[in-house]
Amino acid sequence: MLTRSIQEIRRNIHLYLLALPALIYLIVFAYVPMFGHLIAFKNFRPTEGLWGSEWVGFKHFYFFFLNDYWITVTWNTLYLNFLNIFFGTIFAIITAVFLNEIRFVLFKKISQSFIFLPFFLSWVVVAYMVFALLSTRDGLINNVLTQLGTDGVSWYASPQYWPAIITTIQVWKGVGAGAIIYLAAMSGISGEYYESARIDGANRLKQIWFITLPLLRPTVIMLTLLAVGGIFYGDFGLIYSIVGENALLFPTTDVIDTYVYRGLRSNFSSSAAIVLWQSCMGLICICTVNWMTRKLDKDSSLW
Amino acid sequence: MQKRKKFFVMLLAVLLVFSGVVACSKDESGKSEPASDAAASTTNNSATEQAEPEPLEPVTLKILVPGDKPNNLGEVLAEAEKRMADTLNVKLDMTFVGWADYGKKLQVSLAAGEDYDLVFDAPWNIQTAMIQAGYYEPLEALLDKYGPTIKSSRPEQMWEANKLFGKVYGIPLGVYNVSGRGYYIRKDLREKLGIPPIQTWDDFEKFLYAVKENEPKISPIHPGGLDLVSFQLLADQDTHIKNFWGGYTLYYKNNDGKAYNMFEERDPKFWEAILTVRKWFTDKIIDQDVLASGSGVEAFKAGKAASASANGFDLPKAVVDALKSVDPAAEAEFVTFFDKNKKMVSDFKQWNFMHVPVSSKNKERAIMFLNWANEKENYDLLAYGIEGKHWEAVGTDAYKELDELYPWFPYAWIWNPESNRENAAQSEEIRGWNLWSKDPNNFIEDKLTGFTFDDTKVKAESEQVAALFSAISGPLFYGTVDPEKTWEEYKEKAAPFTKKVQEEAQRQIDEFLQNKQ
Repeated sequence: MLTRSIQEIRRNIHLYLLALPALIYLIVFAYVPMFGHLIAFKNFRPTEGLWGSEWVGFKHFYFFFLNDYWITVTWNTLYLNFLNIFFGTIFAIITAVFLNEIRFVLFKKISQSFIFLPFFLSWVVVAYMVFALLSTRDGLINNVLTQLGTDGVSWYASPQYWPAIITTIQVWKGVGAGAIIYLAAMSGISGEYYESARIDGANRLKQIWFITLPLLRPTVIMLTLLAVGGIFYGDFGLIYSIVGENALLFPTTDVIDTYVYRGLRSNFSSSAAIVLWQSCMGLICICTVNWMTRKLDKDSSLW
Repeated sequence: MQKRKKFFVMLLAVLLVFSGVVACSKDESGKSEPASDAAASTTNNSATEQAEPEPLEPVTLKILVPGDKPNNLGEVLAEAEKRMADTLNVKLDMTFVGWADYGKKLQVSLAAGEDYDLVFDAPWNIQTAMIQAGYYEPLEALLDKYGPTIKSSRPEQMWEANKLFGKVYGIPLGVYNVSGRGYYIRKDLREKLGIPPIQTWDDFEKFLYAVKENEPKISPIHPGGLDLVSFQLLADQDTHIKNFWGGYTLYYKNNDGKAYNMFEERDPKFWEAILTVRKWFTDKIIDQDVLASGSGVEAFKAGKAASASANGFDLPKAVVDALKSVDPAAEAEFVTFFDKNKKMVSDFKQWNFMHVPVSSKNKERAIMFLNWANEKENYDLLAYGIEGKHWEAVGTDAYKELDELYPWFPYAWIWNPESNRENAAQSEEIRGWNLWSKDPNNFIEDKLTGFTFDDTKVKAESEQVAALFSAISGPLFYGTVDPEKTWEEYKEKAAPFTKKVQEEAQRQIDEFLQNKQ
């Protein structure tokens, strides 16, 4: 077993070297700090240090489960993340396919750059853009609605629209980055497939449907699996910038992260307890989905 | 093909490891801090013990305060350093952090062991929690030794009233006995609508409704960030209702040393204020995006609101200038609804404090510097800028701003009654309010002056209610939801926890009052 591993490493030494910096990074910044989880079980006081603080067991987990608001925030977190993963994947694939079909290289590059651009905007900037669109008195959308003779909508007071708004923003911002990964995957598909398909008389759409999409499947599954691992983490940057302290929208937008941030501004231990809980649930989720994938299609699962 | 696919999968794996790194670095950053902090704070402690510095050795003091970095600060600090060159030998390194992030930044900086020597904190910020966690140095000994001017520039009563947990943990910054509150109003609109100067709350309401009727392009009032419920209750001089904990969930009234529970006894003043803002919101008097669009004062400055709620008895030049730059015809005025003829209850607590963190290596020098900065002539420099350039004196107790502006921010580090100057450009009326607020004789001493509630024993309950309250406070206090329904839902969830906190609070209050006698 060991000799086989060594052989494997020797054979692919360059690829492993390529991954080395990232692996070191992970060990230093993801595995070593795991000791920090200990503070979830202690009354952490920075002046006394990690070891000097007193042990309190599961006390800090009570904060979260003591009232039933945790169900609302957990549901919102899962629901918003599900929407984002689902629509994000679909739109990224569609965009990638479209870009892939463009034959005029300059146009392809330019459109790709434009689609990628929002990815680099900070959430704070996006928040102002959203406010310019949705503000009740002089927002662009309400101006159009009033021109059309309808009453404007108080967007910032109507929680029912916000899962859709948030998903739209997330997809708009993330679609370029997602599409790049799928484009990379597509460039790995051999041209021979398309050639033989054309000889058999397949048109563009048929080629996409029977060659591109099936060969993308492992990539889609892998990315989805990884996204599912983070499904218990709300998108704090987005929600805190755009919704912020606007409690009117909390029924549909308050996620675990924002709730914890508001409730525990000065308490390291309780925050750590909830982060630990999120991580455990994420681990369970990713294992379950992987297990299901393996049942359905052994080759596509992560491990 | 097989080989190619395998290569691609490997490549993808590498790519994902990298993206994983990016994602993880975000998730883990929070957790890595405490570990590194433990090490950092121990080194700091040992450094403190060794540091018995030669008094004249040059030292750079790191100071953390809230707000935007003031214009022309560099010039003023250079002058200050020049004046201290042969005596204190202090250089100043000031960090400014925006108000919204200040609490978080302060907490994380100190937890991570950053060696700030002076930091700003306040009861409305995270002061209590920071003291409980042992971040701030008790200052009595240092003040006795190095801070005679700091002590003498504030009356004894102020020191007594601003002890926290029985000790002087911070230097109180302030000169007033009541937290001034008022409203900026568009004078030009008021005159255009033919409304006489606003004297009472009812006049104010008439003005707002008139704006609504006749000026469709502008919000009658934008109270963003400074809600009208608290504003009305703070100006209450009849029952002396006072928030104690959780936005009036527990409250005091009539200065009787009791912690009342709003769930058991819904105070009529409180509920009337809630119903008023609700009515104003549904009548579109209050800006409809009030919860989403931030500061009301900013909206007023941008000419988008006909009035805004504002802290202090003040109409800053910056507000008027900003408004004029948007609309040269616009004019602003200030109104407030306190009553000078009725005495108010005050616990003489200040709202802003300067603290020395335990991790500072230059505690003595920090206090020596503040002592220097509280001396009148140095205070004048740090508070108002360079004389003749940024300001000029009007008598000994007032000043006039000159064209080149050095913004006024002594409240963040040095403000004291002895050296303070009033702004001579203020209207007679505003000046009157400030003098009223400054004179302790206009106030009745709160029975609980000097009392600090220690919530360690009911921490879990207190955090629960804080989280629940944060989800309803905005909508309830800005009138954007049906109050009855929201309150009942809040009550159902929060009442059991609140009861526990109330009992603990009452126990501590009784103990405090007994010891006082």
